[in-house]
Amino acid sequence: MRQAVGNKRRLVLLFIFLFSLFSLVIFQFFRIQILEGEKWAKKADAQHRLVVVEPCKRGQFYSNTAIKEGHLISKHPFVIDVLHFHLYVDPQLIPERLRGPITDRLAAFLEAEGVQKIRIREQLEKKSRSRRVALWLTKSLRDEIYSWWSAFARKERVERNAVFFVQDYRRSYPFGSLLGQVLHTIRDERDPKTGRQIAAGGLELIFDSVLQGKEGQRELLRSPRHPLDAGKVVNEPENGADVLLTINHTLQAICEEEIAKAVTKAKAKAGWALLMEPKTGEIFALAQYPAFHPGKYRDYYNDPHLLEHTKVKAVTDVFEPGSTMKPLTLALCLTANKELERMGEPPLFSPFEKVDTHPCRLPGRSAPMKDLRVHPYLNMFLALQKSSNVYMAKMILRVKERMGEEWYRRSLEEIFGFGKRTGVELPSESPGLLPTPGKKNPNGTLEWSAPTPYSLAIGHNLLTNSIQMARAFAILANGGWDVKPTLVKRIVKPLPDGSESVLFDQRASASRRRVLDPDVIRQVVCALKAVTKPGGTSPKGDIFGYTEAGKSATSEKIVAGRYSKRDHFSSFVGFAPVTHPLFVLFVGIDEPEFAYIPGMGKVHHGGQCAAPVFRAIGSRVLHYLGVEPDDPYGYGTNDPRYDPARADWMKEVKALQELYRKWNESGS
Amino acid sequence: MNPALFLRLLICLTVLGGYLYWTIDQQNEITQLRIALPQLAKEIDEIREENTLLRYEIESFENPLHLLQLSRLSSFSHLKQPLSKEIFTIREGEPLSLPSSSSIQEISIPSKLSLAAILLHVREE
Repeated sequence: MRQAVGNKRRLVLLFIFLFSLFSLVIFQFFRIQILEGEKWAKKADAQHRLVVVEPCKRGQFYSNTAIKEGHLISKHPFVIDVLHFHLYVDPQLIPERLRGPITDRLAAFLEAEGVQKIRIREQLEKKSRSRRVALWLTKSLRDEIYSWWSAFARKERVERNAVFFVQDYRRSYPFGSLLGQVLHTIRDERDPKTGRQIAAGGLELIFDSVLQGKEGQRELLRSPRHPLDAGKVVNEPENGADVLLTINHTLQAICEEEIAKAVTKAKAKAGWALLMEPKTGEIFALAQYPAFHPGKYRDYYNDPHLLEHTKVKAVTDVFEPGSTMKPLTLALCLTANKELERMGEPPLFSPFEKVDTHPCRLPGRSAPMKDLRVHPYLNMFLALQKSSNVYMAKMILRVKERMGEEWYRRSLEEIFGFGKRTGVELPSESPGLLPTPGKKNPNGTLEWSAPTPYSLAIGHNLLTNSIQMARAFAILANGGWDVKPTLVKRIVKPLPDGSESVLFDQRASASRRRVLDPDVIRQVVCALKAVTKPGGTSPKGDIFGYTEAGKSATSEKIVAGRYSKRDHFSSFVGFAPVTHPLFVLFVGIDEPEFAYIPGMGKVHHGGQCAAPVFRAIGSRVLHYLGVEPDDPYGYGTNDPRYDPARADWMKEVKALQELYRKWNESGS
Repeated sequence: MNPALFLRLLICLTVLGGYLYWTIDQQNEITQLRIALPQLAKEIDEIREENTLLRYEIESFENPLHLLQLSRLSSFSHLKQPLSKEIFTIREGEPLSLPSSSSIQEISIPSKLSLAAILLHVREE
């Protein structure tokens, strides 16, 4: 009986003990799963799952295909993000004995020899879970490596994740080096802190904030047998916005072809051409030679000689405009006439006035002002046709005396925008230099001295970039309206539902302000038309079959603080057709070979090396745009279509020739 | 046991069983679709990337520099750039009408302005 009671007590104790243990287990369950459930779930997730970045596509740049009437409007991207793969290894999962064979095989796939092969082996020796072996592999190469590795890993009993791929989008350029400097590129390496792409320059840099999309997140299961490219997207990536450029890819190609030919022919250091719509300021083409291939940017950055070809010289490089300044000088003189007329005062001059243009001394200037060839008497039309320095200086002397230097400087700044950035969407735009009274140069001399206005009149003593010159001529071409050069038509963000959200529209931001009187424009344009005709300085700039107006220039470059007699910057700026200008074209040839060829003249002059490019590009552009010839008899003298009696402006040119002879060759 | 009650119970159980079977079958189908979905999404992504790659290759072929070179070949010499007036565009689904005027104001520069003046001046001289 006592034993039975004892057994019962032991049973009760055992039950209490077991119940306590069970309660403890239950409590632990409660603590782990309910009280600390979130913490342990996170820990478990961290052990079994990992979140990797899901790449997004960077926005693209599109060509402007809406410039030609009746032409199919289609989307042509200048850059496409193509999926590529980076090859990684996990050295901790690769046994020592297999590192040699794996290195050999990977080197064979990657065509790596010598130092490159040693580098692959070094990556396999690192104490790390993730070492990058190769960048930007194509899908086909990735599939080849993957298929070899799967079989190899199975055979050698190595975990499959010891070799893996990480996908990323690579900027790829279907048109190669076309528009290279303007587009520029992004670096191969991402920012180590933010993981974002790093823009290296050009439009990529300017529009980086809108082009960058928002990366998503992909959740992966951490398992030796689980392939890393699976898993689910937990945060959808958001692609960047697309930039619709004003550049047309065909016009760009035409300009690039012609500028390359011209630079090669002139044995020049470089050259560039800028094609702009004069009313809206839309830049249709911005070509430069030597070219820059954004996809091979490392080659350019590692070679100091090639590095300078990565920048857009039309905005970064400044030069003295030289004779292309002369039509602008005349426009200001005619504007002064208008102002004086408004004030009820006699005008400065008449465009038809016979002006003594012998070499002359001017107040404040030590050396006499002279022309390349003496033209004793000229009027405004002849002065521009012959590119007379003396005439321009004398007119500015009158402006200085009647209107004052301050008016002249203010007009250059406010009407043509010299000394100020145009605001075109490219980095490192140089504002150029417009001398300021009272301000000193780095060498201590005053920027603006007594003879400065005469120098400015002929395009010396000021520095401009090519876009500023194109803009100034666009004002002449569009009837006197201010214009802002631009490379962007629209910026649109594609939405997941297939629609687009417009972030920027150039048409909405356009504003118009008239800066020159239409009557002034007419007179200057009429004078300009004679420049490319017989007797002018640039007959090689005549676009056969079409009317054009333009002016060439040859300026000496400043080398080591002095004007160089051998290094020049030659240019031509003009527009066509004159009645309804469709484009303004600036052509610049940097350091053409300094040479004189009998029968041709000085081949480094703008009229010889830049004007023919204007003709070639202008002619091809007008044909491409389907523009009907507005000067159907204005062809070369050997062309059967040529008819001097009916060709545009030939009567006026003949009248000018007659006048020139009368004033300068008959002892007048 | 009451046979009527038994019959009713049997019918209820059969209906319940059938309904349960149908529900589970539906769940299985959904689960199957759920399993297939990531694979399909992956395939769509792959097709999309293939399309991008193809587009890149087509655009590379249609590089305007390349097309300009082709246009100079004798085999394409019969082709010419048409003038705008030679192109007639008919928009699908729209009645024929004159194109609307451009929103941007045309600015024209009369080219014959100074002809009379110059000629007059020459005569005066």
